[in-house]
Amino acid sequence: MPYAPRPPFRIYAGRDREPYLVQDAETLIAGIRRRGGDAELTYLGPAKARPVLILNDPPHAAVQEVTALRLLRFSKVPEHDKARVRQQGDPLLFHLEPGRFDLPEENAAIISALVALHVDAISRDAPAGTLSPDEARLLGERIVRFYGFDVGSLVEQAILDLARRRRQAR
Amino acid sequence: MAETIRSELRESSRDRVPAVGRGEAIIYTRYGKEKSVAMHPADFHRLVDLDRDLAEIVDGGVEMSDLAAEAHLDESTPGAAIEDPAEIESILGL
Repeated sequence: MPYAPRPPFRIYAGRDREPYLVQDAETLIAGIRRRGGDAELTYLGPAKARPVLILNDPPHAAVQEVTALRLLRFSKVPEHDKARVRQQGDPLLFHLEPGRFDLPEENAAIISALVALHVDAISRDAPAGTLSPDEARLLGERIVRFYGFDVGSLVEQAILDLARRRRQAR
Repeated sequence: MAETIRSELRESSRDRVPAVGRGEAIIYTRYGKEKSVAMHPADFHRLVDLDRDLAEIVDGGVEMSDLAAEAHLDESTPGAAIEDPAEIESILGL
């Protein structure tokens, strides 16, 4: 799992050379503009192998990317907060029932830590667990709320469709 | 498919449930928490139908078009990165 890139950016400079350090995004943008077109550089950044909560299947045969949430290990949760997280009392920490997920320790998915992953970067072993439909629904609600997606017109359309179906059923 | 209410048929003699009038519900609690609800079958089926209809409405996913997939791939697939130090230094203004 790579961390979100941030300055100072470390740029690969070839074999046997120290990476270049760039202190801000503006320097990069200005240089690339001067050059014209795209300039693809290799950014060096820290990453670690971690379990994640995958939210969707790949959207297309050609697009083998999925979105996922990073997990918070419970050993990092202060004792006085554990009960609240277990009871789904923190809207941004989605507790995963430890008995249903084959993970080294209890975890909660961090709603604010959404990442994109290529499927080839995911272990081919069986999933450590799956959410129940109820859990998936609650998780979806929290994601929509946190990211502030405006679903007003979707809700309105659903209500109208529902009303139409109910009228037809009578 | 979104979650809909699953139900199981049981003989009422097995669990000794009360008769409940239409438009009413009896909420059973244990230690102050709601545990189960008994309601009239007509009300229950109305809720099940509503639940199923809602699930069908909200389950309309969006299929990714080939054009959108191509755009995604174009912007998400790494190409040939510049690794020539002179060129990198030129870009970085060094």
